[in-house]
Amino acid sequence: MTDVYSAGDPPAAAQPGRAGKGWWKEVIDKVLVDTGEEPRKSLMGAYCVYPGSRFITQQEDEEIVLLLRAHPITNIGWVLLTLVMLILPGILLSTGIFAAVPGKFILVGRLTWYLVTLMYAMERFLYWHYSVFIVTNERLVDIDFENLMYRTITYANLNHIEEPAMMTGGFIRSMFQYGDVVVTTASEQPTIEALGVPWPQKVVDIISRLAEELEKRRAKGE
Amino acid sequence: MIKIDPNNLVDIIRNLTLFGVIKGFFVVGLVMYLAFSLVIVRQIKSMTEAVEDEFNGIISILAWMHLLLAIGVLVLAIVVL
Repeated sequence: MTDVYSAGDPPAAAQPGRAGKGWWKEVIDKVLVDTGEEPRKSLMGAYCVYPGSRFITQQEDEEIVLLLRAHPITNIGWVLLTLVMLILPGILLSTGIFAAVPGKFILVGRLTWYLVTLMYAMERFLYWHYSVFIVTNERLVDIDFENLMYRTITYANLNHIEEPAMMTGGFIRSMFQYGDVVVTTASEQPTIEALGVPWPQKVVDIISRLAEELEKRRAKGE
Repeated sequence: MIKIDPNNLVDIIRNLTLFGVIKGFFVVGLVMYLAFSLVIVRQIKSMTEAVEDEFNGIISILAWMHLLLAIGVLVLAIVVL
């Protein structure tokens, strides 16, 4: 289901008070109008345009243009596994294989099992929710949580990127319109990737246009 | 210095039951789980600092509830088993 932050609102460029606050706002507004986008939050927060939220190390003159997560359908595996884990104790008990085990052990065992299930579901949800790919008016930021203990944050300045590319294909990806966005950079980190994000062609379009607009501004000496 | 009486040790081993051993495993496992739950609370704090989001508050509450549940099950295992 698509959630729209401000359905019916005029495009950001047309909103009073936005223009003139900073040249980067004009750039963002132009790119959003050109790509036919408007501030919105779709697919359970997997595709947010101009969300107005903040991230670690965000600078004063920096604004988030796109905040992306993997498409919600990529969570189907662990959601199904969680459901199986929830019903498994009931199925096993109904077979009678624990008939000789005292009731108090069954109770504690069941509670422990549900606790582990909750932990598993929480962990998977947190990886998905907090592993984000952010496009700002200045750079690309890839925040990845490898596990609960380990976090990597990769940055690529929009001035230092080569042409971004997208990869999609296969039945599920085509059906749900998600894929990978790979941006080659001229910095030490050779590529920065957004895996399984919704509407990759739009993401590539927005990144390209932002980089192009910045290049034009730089050429003009602004 | 504590002296271990070999006779007492033999008595303890003789009185061991299968369910006694299982209880031991449960308690040790749940203590480790409790430590892990504490780490999760800490890590969620770090995650919520990384990206500002409207769900950050709810996720933090979930982590604390999970920690309380872990404490509850540990206490239950010690008392009931």
